[in-house]
Order: sequence, then structure tokens, then C-alpha cells
Amino acid sequence: MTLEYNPGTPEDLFGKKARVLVAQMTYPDLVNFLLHHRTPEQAEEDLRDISMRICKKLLELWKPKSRKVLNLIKELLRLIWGGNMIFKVIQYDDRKRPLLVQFIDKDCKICKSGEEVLEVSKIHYCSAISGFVEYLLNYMAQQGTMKLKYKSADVRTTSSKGNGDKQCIHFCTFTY
Amino acid sequence: MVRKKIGPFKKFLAAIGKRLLWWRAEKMDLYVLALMARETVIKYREILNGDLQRAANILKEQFASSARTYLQSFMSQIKLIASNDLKDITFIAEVSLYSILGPDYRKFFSNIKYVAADDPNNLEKLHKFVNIVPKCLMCSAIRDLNLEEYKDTNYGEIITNALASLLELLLDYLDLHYSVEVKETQCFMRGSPFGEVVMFLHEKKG
Repeated sequence: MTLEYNPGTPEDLFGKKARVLVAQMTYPDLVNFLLHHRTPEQAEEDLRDISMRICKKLLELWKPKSRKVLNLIKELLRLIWGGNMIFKVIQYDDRKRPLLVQFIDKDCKICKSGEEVLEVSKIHYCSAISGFVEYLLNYMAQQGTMKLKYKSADVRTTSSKGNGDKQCIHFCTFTY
Repeated sequence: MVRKKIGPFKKFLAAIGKRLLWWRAEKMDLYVLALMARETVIKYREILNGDLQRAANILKEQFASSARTYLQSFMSQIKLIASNDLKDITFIAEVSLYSILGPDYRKFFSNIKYVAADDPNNLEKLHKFVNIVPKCLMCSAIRDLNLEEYKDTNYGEIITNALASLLELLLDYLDLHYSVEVKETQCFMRGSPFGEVVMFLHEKKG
């Protein structure tokens, strides 16, 4: 089925703004739904899966300019809802390339919405962020334009303010 | 006590206030927000054994409930400009939409019109608000999907039910005893050249 008339296109939405509060108020319902229908592990994977798919669609319109890993993530966060990410390299490989990197989100927008979620301690509440970041890093690696020449990146959320942790931390493991 | 009518000075204050609130608000990309709705429905559908209608309905309920929470967080500001004249609801609705989408809200919700129950052209004889949708926030983000599957889900109700929920909460606050019934009378997916949402007010009994 195609639409005879033009109801709007992604281009009509991209670059326009809405209050983050709208997403923050809906996210707890999403997490609750997943926790009621899935195991905590599955629910966490579902959150990552949703954000990966969003990132995939977004990249059809958005052309990232940054070529450095942290700048790229900051560009992503600025685009979707702002935030303030810093990083710490935990481990280097024998060629002094970063192997394990910790991204610390100092202003996680998702975790600001976490107060009403049931059983939230069973999952990392802001796992959706790791899905966004992982998809983006792997997409850019495939484009071959990154300064750091990694083959793939695996990103996992290990702590979330939404769970009562002090910080939101996402661990990234690079493969060369 | 709620005033009877919003005067020009209050309207002027609201015009400044809504801009200030928008300027200070934390914002996100609108396309990402629409994609969140799209991918949430797809995920719900996977979990619910392919039941797209149920998946969409669940998000409609969740979004409507979030909208009420959203408005409650703004009630202190809304109180400053509220009146219990139904004609003023259109003004309050536009201020609320501005607070959510900023000035671009007009691209998706054109001037909201109030039609009184006793208007000779009002066939239903119920107070109603009519809103034309020049571009649809929801349809814009799903055009690459199989729309044949989506056309009977009233997908746009994810937004319109939320707006109806906002209106109902507002009416409650204003001591106007109506329940709100929302209908998408024109829909792009059903072949209409534009979207149209009508909110009917039913007097609450008792």
C-alpha cells in the first residue's frame, strides 16, 4: 500500500524538536511492559534492540561528522537528547590501542525517568543507550572513516542511576 | 478559583511564558521520538505473537497515561492562564502543544477550532474541537513499513488519545464535567488528503 497523499516524511521530523520529558515519561511504561513479559535479560536485550533499530533508521538521514569515538558519541547524544559523556580507557592492547573503554554518562536523560519502574533493579535501566552507541560505532567502523581502526565494538551498560547506582556507565570492548 | 475568560493581558503573558519555557526545556529530536513509538510498537508486536492491533493499543494507553502525568507537571503554569470558557480551551491547547513541540507544532496541528453544541452546522449537537493535521507525526515515521497492516490500527491515535487525555484532565481541573471522545475523522492511511481529529465532549451524568 502506498499513500496517495503526503502525510509527511522522516525529513519533516528530523531536526525538529520535542521535549525530552515526553520520552522520559513513556520510557518507564516500556520497561515495565518488557519486565512483565520477558526475563530481565531478555528485557535488557529488547531495550538495546529497540535503540539499535532507531539508530539504524536515524542513520538513513543523519550523516555523522565526527571521526573520533568520543566526539561521535557526543554528536549522537546531542542529536537525540543532549547529555554529557566522558570516557576512561581501562585497558590497552599490546599495540597501545584502546581495548576496553568506560563511557560515563554524567547527565543520563533516560535515568531521570526511572522513579516509577517496578523491579528495575533486575535490569540496567539505561541499556538503551548502549544499543544506540554500539550500533553507531559498528556502522562507522564499516564506513571505514574512524581514526581508531577497530573492526567492531561491543557496548554493555554496567551501571545505571535508574537502578540506584552512582553513575551511568557503559563498557565498550573494541576488536581489531 | 478559575476565571471566566482569558483576557488579552493573560494571553500576552502566556505568549511570553510559552516561549520562555520552550527555550529553557531539554529537547530531543522529533524524528527520534517518532521512531521510539514506531520501534516500541514493533517490539510489542513481536512479544505479543504478531498482534499489531494489540501492540498499538498498548502504546496508545501508555502514551495517554504519560500525557496526563506530563500535564500535571505543568498544571501550575496552566493555572495561570486557564479559564472555564470552552472557547478558551483552544488557546490553552495551543499553549500546551507549543510547550511540547515548540513553534513547529503548527506543522502538525493546525488551528484548533471550537464548535459549540448549538451551532447550526454541528450535526452531532455536542461541543467539539476540530483539529486539522496537515502532516502526521506518526505516519511520517512508518511510511517504509507495510501500511496495509497499519491502516486499520488507528495508529495516529497514539497521539490523539494522548491529546484527548490531556483535554479531559484540563476539563476536570476547570470543573467542566465532560468526558472526551476522540475520533480520527480523516486519516492519510484511509486515503484522506489530510488528517482530522475531532474531540467530542459528552456531559458526565450525576
